[in-house]
Amino acid sequence: MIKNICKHLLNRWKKNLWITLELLLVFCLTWYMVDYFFVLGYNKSLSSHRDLAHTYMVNIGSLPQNHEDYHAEDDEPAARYANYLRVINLLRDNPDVESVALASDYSALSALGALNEGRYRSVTDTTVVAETQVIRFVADEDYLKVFRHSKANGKTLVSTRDYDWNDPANILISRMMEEKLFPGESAYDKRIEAVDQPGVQYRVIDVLDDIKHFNYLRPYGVVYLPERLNETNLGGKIITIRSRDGLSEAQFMATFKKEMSTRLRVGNYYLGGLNSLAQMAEDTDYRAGKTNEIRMSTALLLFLLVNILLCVLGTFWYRVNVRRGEIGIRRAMGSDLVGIRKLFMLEGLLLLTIIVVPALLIEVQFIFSGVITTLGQDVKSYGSYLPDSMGLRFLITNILTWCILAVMVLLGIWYPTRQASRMSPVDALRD
Amino acid sequence: MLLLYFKQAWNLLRQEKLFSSIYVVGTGLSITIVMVLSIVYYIKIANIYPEMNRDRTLIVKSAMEKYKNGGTGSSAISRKFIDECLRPQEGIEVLSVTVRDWEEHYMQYTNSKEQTQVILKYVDVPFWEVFSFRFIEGKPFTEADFESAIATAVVSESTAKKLFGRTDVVGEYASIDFRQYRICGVVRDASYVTSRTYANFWIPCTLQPDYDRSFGNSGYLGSLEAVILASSLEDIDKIKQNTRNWVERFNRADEEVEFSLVGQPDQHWESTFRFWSNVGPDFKKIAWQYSLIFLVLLLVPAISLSGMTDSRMERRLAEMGVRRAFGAPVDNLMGQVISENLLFTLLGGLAGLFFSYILILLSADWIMTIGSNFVDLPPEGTKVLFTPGMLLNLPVFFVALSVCFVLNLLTAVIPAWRASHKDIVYSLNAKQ
Repeated sequence: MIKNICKHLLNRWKKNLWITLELLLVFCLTWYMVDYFFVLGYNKSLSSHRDLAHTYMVNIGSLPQNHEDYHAEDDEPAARYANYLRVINLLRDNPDVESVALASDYSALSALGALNEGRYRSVTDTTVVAETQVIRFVADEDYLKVFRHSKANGKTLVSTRDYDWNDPANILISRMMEEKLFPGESAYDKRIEAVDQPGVQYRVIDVLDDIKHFNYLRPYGVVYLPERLNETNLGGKIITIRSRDGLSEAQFMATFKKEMSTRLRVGNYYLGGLNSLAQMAEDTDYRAGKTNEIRMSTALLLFLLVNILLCVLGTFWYRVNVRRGEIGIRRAMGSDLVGIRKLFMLEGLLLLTIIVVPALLIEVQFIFSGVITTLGQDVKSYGSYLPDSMGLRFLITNILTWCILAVMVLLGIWYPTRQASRMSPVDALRD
Repeated sequence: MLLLYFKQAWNLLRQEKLFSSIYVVGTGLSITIVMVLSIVYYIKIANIYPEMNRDRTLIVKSAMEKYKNGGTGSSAISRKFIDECLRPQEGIEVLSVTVRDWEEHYMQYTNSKEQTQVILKYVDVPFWEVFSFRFIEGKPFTEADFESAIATAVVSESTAKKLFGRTDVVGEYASIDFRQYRICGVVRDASYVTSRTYANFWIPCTLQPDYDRSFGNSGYLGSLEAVILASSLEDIDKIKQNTRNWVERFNRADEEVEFSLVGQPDQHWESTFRFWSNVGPDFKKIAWQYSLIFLVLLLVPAISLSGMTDSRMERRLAEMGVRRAFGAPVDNLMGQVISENLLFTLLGGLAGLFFSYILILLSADWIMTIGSNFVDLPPEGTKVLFTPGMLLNLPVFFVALSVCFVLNLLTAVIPAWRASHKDIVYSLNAKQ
């Protein structure tokens, strides 16, 4: 049958020129989009090892001096500190709140896109330097539990309370840092220092999982630097909370605002707002143009697929009409409707397969001209990732492209061949 | 003659409903996407209330310094730079400065503890001359209010209604970030799509602490943006050239620092592509990118539609053969095919334009951010409104019609040429 179809295609090559050209153009463009979505999907499938769902940022405002309820005595450092602790305690005592965290700056919350980076090295071998993200948090509260940080590849969830923070040199690092600075050995109890602050030594007390800065990028190494809260370092701290499991976001936020607005009026402090960090992460993607990029790419992919569907539909509708005589003879010779449909479908798939060869040649030009980029490759990851293996990625994305277009081709052929099934063999033969 | 061709095409359309539907949908799809992009850029660039003088507007958002040690610094510009470089220039009708402000602001209500996030714009008095706001009540704050940093505000109509339930609120006080502002005027709402001017409250920029501060080695970096309204379109190039000359003169005189406006002043349309303070837009690259997108959007459907037209002509070969046998010139036949095809394309164009409006209205919240690297998120409850004038206007119709003509030529010329150049005997013998 394949031989028969090939002969047919060869005899009618002029008639197939348009559809072949369209398939070739669409195959190359679709492959480009599929490659983008493949890398994006791959990155998203990697575990973040932190969970922003059910976490919230609590905005605690301070009344301005010209406000009628402002009290100057509450702005004294000691009173301010005491009031701040009361606010934290009130949050912790809320039955809907599971845990409370204090981050030292916005880079501790990947939701806002801020990134604090540093360069660290072992004190024993200063030649190897690891570039990493730096997370500063207040060890008095449970930062690690709020964001569900983990170790042993997500198997064990950790809590800030699991560690001894009395020694200010104690810090946590992530696996990528351990592999980079202490290859083949455990980093536990090892000493490291920042390249720009030689002499200030830190002691590694545990190794956690790497975390992603953005969900669509690769995991990135981390150094967790703790600090203790006191009267002088309240400024810039960000309060975050995790709600109890089972509470919906809308339900928790409504109840929290209603109940806590009055209770959190402590000294000059007041509840300025409550923001879902998961929503803020989405907003950050939107602000950075990522959401739009994905929307545009999806629209372009859909545009290409609908076009190829219409092209196949139109071409085969005509083909069925032009080949009425042939269909009539096949029916008269005993071929059933499924057989005729199969013939046309195989013809479509064969055309699609034939154009793969020139399409691959064009795609290789794309690769060598540097048009193809790899999302997340610029993150200083030390692991190996599938999208970096260009050959395998090229193969997978082309197979995916072929499959997607094959579905479109089959859909496009299905309707016109349905018409052929309604054709009476007698009428068809007369044509 | 054209009417006859159209009649014939109309009959063909009725005879081959499936084919015609596929053709119209294919054309419409392409035109929908091209038109969405065109309308978005029309709204970004055309003269639209209250930015009615966009064609005469020049903008300086930022500047950059390169130091001798290889370091760089970039930010918005300072009042010192505006006063020394821009203000003395000829050809400027009005020059306005606004403060670049990243803070979130909240409006408080008198009878409720609830707060609403609002957009606050720190502006000067000439701002109200550069932009054509329509005052429903009152007037802008005065030069005296501005110079004395009096807490006065112009409020938008919808915000006034939200706060007081009415618009005659001149003399009332609004609380923003717990500070009381006396309302001096109420203006008709601008749409969020005119992001340079959109706000809930406009207040004197002298209320922003250190609004006229200068930093950097040159003292020309600061926190202001300048909006220049040129006296005429001819003055635009003059102002650009004079600014470039001024910067060159400054750099020749100062060896410690190299000051740069990174290609500014921008015309309004140029400024819509500028996102960074230290890197200017690469217009050549942008032109290439958009040309490529438009090419793909037209070429992909064009090949498929061309194939379909070719198949249709195949079925009409006998008709073509008869006409040629009776002496019809090739040009006439080609003209006929292209004209007939035009009807299909115009129908697709009409459907495409209609769907592009629907698509824009359905995705109003984000559609205007297409092509932007950084996007401002509107405060909750902000509605992105499109006025009829933004969507239904001559330039948009003209673009739609042009796209139809281009697409029609792309899809019909080759099949028409092939059909009309076939051997007459072959055509006459072709199966109906």
